[in-house]
Amino acid sequence: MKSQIQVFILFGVLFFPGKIQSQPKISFETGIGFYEPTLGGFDNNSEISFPTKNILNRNLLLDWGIFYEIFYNTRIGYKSYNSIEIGELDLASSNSAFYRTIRYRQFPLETFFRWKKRIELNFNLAPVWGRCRITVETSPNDNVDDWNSLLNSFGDSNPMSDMGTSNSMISDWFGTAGMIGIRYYLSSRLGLDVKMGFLHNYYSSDNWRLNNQTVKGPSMELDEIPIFAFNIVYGIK
Amino acid sequence: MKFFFILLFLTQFCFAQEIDDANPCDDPILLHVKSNGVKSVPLIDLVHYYQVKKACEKSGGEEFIQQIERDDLDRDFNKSKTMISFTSTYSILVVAIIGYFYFGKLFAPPTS
Repeated sequence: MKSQIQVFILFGVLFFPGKIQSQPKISFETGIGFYEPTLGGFDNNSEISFPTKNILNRNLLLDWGIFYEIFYNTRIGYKSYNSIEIGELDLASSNSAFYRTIRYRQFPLETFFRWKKRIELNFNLAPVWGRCRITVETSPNDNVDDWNSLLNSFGDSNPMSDMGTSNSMISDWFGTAGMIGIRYYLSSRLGLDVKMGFLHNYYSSDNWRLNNQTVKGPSMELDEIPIFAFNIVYGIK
Repeated sequence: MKFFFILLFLTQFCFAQEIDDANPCDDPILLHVKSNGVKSVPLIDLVHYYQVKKACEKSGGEEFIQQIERDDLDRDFNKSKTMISFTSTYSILVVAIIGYFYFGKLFAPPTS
């Protein structure tokens, strides 16, 4: 038993320094991206006027990601590009708050090499899990009465005069993405990264869900979109 | 005996004074970074590393710190300056796919 412990310690001493020197590298990145989808269901809607389209709610993507270097010159990671739109809708009975998000969640496999001491070229392909969520805040008639009766039971006297409730419709789809990037290292931990590539989504307007029911959603053309991104990268470890 | 204890007590003060005057560039964390790289510093010790680095620079160790950073960049460069087998094949595949995509975007006639 004693000799087994000694062997264990010896192996630990021999192998542990090796693990220190070849430890994995984890990096976090955040930035912005640009693309140009065609959101027909929102822009060409003759019945409801959606918030005016502009570069912030149509073309801008806010992104973040985390990568793990699994092998020399190879990383895997998670990357999320988010498009956000917030505004007000003039619906049949009231004006309602409206939120729309499109998330392109990518799981990239990236290879890279240092072209120069501070310059890296990187190449990645990724499956995409896309999700669009539309949230509308409406005010049903019974909502105020129901809440007031509950609050009255606690000793209050009809405190609420107006209330809203929100429901979301959601659609998920599969897609693919590919990016080529060039990264400049300001220091060994900090870098600036510029990428270009494509985003291809198999989106269907028939696969939306609202309150466990399948409904029809807006028509959006999200296939074969060129995409550009600028990121700040920080090597955590 | 009393004299011995007083001497021992004063000797400790002497040692404490000596530690305060120690060169920050000799801090073990800098020696660790010099041999293993900046990224080998655990997150929990990162603030301490930056404090020691700043103190070292102030005490005239700018060249030493710059050398550490140069060594780190050299180490990363030497590790990843070449691609072999899978990584190079994969990169060529990515370039081909993206090249094909943009070529199609530029030159293919519109479908509708």
